[in-house]
Amino acid sequence: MNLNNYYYYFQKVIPERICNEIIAWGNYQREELAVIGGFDKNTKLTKEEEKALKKTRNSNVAWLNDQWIYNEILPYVHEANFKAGWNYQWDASEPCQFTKYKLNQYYHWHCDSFHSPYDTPNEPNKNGKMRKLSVTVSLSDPNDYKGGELQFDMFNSIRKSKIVTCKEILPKGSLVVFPSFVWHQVKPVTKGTRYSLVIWNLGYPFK
Amino acid sequence: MMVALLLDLLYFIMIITDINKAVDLLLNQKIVALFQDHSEWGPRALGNRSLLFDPRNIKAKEIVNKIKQREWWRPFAGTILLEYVHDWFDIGSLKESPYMSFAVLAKDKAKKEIPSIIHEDNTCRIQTITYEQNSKFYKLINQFYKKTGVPILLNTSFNLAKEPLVETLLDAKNVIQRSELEYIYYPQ
Repeated sequence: MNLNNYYYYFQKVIPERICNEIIAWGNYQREELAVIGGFDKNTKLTKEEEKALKKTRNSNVAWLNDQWIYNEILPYVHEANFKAGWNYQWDASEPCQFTKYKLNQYYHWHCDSFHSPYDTPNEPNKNGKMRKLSVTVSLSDPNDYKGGELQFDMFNSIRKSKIVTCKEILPKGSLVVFPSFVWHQVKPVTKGTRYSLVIWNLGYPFK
Repeated sequence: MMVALLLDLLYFIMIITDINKAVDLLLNQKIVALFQDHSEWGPRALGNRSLLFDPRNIKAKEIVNKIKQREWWRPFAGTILLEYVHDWFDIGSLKESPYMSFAVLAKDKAKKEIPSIIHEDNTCRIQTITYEQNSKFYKLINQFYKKTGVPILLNTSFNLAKEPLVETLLDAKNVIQRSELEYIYYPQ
């Protein structure tokens, strides 16, 4: 799919106080090693699995389900969906993933969507849907860490690959919305800790 | 205008300005509406437009929900003096919770003594308060603490179900007239 906009950003829209509250609340939760598709987050990983996982991803996450967090962020997902011209149907959101990238932690190239919709009859809000729009919020002050750049691959059928660094979301409280099938990565953090929040927003498969 | 409305209110409801009377009402298991200073905006009432109740009362949820005209099962939160929060709740790495954003785990003491604001999963969406953050509300809770040993009050928004938070004294009068609420604490 060729896109006019691979991502759409808003700068400094989440107040500093809210960012700090999310960080405090995220740090209060039980932290776990982040996994990727193909790994079961409810099962303890073997050493080999952990090694395989860390080839792609090394970061710590916690899950937040608080309505006040969605209330702050989801209006921007709607606005980006309209203004970027995607106009995707979506009507549900997964739990918020609070991510902590510490020194040397990263998330190599990946996309957020899977090849088939969720098959989760016990979770009707999710069942039969797929990730369509991802949103990443920068919670940290850019002076508190180095590295950890978010990059997108603006791949299309003509120019194939074009990697851009999303510098626009460096200021604390900035966020970026992008189609969940767009490939992206977070480069290793070289100093300090980078906190971010990700929400995957779901809709029925594209027709 | 303000004075006229206050006088008008006196004909309809009991306005209390004395902190000791307000605490006595709470101890007598009355709901006290706290109305002070500027109005509030946001998902929680943090002590300027709040309905307060004794959290030790095991029927508090039933009583306050009935008065607010809400469903019986709706849970309530509480406000605690920050210096005592570690005695009652496990707030882990959190330093405070001034905006009532966090549902933290209750310790055994809380489960036993203030069951009305502890949820089924043993958490409570707690607001911590300091004197500097809200001196009048702090003093009220502190006075309640001196009488009961409990530095916490049930705190819910001053409004009826499906209505916005009370903003003006006129709004307050309107709510009082349409409900079984009787008392407003208007601290000086």
